[in-house]
Amino acid sequence: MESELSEELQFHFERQVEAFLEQGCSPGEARRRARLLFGGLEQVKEECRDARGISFLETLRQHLRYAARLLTKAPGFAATAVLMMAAGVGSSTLASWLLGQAAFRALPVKAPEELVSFRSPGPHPGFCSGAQDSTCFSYPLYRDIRDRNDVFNGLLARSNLSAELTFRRRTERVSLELVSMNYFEVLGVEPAAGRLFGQSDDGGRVAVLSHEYWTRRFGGDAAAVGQSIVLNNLRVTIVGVSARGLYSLAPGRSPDAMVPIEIQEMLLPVHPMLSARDYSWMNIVGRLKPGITRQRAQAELAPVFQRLIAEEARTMPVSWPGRDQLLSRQLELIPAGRGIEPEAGWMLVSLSAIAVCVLLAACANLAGLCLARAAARQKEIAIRTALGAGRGRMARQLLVEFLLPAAAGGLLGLSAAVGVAGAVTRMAFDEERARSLSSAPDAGVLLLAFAVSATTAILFGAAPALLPALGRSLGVLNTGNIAPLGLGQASFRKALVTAQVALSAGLMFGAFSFARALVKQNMWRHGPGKENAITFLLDAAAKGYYPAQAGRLFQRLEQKLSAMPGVRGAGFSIGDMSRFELEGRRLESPEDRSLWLQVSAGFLGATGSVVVEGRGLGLASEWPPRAVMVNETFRRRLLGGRSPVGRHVRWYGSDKWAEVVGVVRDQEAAGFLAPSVYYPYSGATTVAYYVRTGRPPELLFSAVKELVEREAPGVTPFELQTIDTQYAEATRSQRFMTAVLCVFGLLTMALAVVGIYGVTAYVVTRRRPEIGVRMALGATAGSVVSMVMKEVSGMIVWGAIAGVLLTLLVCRLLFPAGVGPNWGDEYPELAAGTLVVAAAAALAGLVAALGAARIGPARALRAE
Amino acid sequence: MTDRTLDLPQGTLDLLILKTVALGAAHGWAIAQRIQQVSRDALQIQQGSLYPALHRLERRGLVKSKWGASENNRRARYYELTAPGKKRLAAEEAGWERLVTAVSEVLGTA
Repeated sequence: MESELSEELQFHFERQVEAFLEQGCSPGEARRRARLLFGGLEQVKEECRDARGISFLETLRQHLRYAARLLTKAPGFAATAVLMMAAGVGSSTLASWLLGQAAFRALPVKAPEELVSFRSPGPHPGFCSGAQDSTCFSYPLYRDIRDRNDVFNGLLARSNLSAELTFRRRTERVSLELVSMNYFEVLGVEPAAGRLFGQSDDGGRVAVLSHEYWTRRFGGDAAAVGQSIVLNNLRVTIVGVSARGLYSLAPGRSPDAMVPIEIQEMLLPVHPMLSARDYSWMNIVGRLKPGITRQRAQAELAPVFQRLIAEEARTMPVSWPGRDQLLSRQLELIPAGRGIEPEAGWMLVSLSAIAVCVLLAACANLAGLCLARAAARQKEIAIRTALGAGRGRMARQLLVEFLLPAAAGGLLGLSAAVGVAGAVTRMAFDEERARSLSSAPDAGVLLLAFAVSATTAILFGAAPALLPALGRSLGVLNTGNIAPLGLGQASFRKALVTAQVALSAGLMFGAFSFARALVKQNMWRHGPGKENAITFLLDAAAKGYYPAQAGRLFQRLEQKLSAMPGVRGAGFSIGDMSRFELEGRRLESPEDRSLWLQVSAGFLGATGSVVVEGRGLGLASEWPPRAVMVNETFRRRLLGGRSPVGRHVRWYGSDKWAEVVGVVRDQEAAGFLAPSVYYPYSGATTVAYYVRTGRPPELLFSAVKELVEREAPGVTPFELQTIDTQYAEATRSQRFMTAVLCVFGLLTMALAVVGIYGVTAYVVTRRRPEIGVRMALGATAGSVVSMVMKEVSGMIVWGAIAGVLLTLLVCRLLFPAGVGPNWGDEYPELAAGTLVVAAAAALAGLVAALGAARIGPARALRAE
Repeated sequence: MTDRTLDLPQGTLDLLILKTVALGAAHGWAIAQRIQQVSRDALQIQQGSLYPALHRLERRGLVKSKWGASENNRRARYYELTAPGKKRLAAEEAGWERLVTAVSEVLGTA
């Protein structure tokens, strides 16, 4: 552009010179006259440029250069703004990406919208095992519906099983998925290597590896297909590898291999489940025929389901109280395109909420900073406006000044999110869940998440930043004071800081809440008997031990362990959360469960449990038990502190009552504290050992392995770890959340404090003349300080109230009662979080206010 | 403008330029020369007014420019009339006629 203009004008000049030469002038004379005629070259260029108008890109480049120059002159501001935006955008991108994966990602199968899963809330006959009761059914029920329906193009069933896999002399514990033979066919997926299950494999000893396990353990070697492995005691052949990205229909699971259900009884002959109508352990998913709606299928299946339910009810004792409810269960078909009841889980939801808070705080912070700087540049803005910079141009300039650090921060945050995604999921979730989440980053989702957070940032941050451009500028030039324009601005800045106070109060509450929970649990841990212990699991059924044999083995091991040097006590237990009945009380809601633990004779002694009421358990081992003990939490939560001794409880579905004979002191199990019922060991084939020692626990590991190998060859202890490690694993998510909340809470609080200081200092500067007058008229320093503090306290109080309300609202919305940590009695933490932020903010305001008091009246008045 | 030349009423320069390039593409010097010649030296356009006017006209889309070789084989920017420019020229000419007629009548009756 520039050079062309010069060239054009140069041409004209030279023709003019030629004209003069033709008229007879000398070359020197000709040039001189031409130059005189020409006048100012730059002026002409300027006018031409103006006439042309400047392109949008030109303007943008100018704005950017100016904004960049301003930023380099204020590196502190630039760094803070960029980093905060990076934190906000990065964390919300990451959170929404994870959330999207966990809750919204469609399964990588053919036509996921045709898939439905079975759901039927209500009591189950007999045992029910699975993540959610309402989606578990027995194998005979599945088989009967599969063979007697007209509405599905295929009905599959799945379940989990943990087993021992031996390959080339290496044994490890794996997570298996038992699936019906038509699993892959119904899902419509292709193998990554080899083949998938087909009709000829019926009852066959075949296995399909998951892509993830195949990569991890077999190095992605195609030669793995055709190899044989031993699962428990059964030799099976690997026929193929499933497609990458296909994990499980159950959310959060990442199985290592899939095997046909039909070999369950060969895998685990000790616990045959295929013909049991009183064992509900399978999820059922079907593909609807085209043209059939869910409602119609539901209606058509209802009579079949009723009949099958009635058959199941017959397996229960006559006195079973749940019979009527069982018979009235309905079958629902739920869309399963994203898996069976996919849910984000409280962790991800909390992370998203935190990320949103951080993002909003970052925007408020950046907007406030921009406003503060604009206030300092009042004069400059006024002059520029007076010189003819249009309102629009000023607004564009300020917008670019806001967007430049915002965009830089946003991009930084995006790359940080991508970079730490893997590490974060591993820190936040247990291994299996983490594997199912951090698959290949889906560029589309990531960009969408980034776009959403970036748009939020711009919307919430740009608006206040534009404010200075919209005000009148005349007043500034006249008085040199910041008066009229300042008013609207100050309120806005106050509003921004109030928002920051509110958000940081919320985050600090979260930090306190989680920290307190951790500390409380930690205190439990260092009660008597908690240090220096190890734990491990033994699965005797995998190697064919029947309950009686297993019991003898376990007790033998317990004795030998207790006799080992350095060991202070050994015992074993196993159990899970179960529904039960308490004589004289109706326990209907899902929260009314207790941990039912069958324990060995030495367990309570080994764990250092103290009997606080009644007596201990006898040695009688039977199911259902006759005598049980409960813990303090049970007594407190279910009986309001009254003595349970002499009362009766009954495991749901059993027909015999057990008497409570004693109460034991609380001890947390793997990181959480629940009402518990203890009864004597009654034949479980998988148990968890607890061995307490006076020496460093790691020293026991090899001794334990040798002992088990000697006493029960082929049975391998798994999850062998110290109690400390187990606790750390179990509380991994909680500790991660605490760390995140503390970091972000402190960060936003620091910024809020700085914001308060800034706004207060600004207000003081604005009111300097007034202060001067007051002091000249005799006001004391104290009254000036309190006058300023009144302004500050407004922000703090409103911020605190808003913070409390917001936190309560968010908690109620995101965490319906019972899910996640117990929010109900968190009011002390709420108060603590709010007070801390309020105190820090008040302190900052006070410091600024004290600055006001130091203004001598003469100086203040002179500034007018 | 030198003393001997006339002051152009505002906006007339654009009209003159449009008319000149209507006869054929020309570079800035040629346009100025042509106007000077045809008006028998009454109108001498200086580059200080000419080039801004040319650029303004180009921005408004009434002329378009192209680089080409001049008579003495040097590079020069040629301007030519566009279709909207043609329409605009016709409109301006008609307007000028009406203006001149009206002013003359008033002066004639004075």
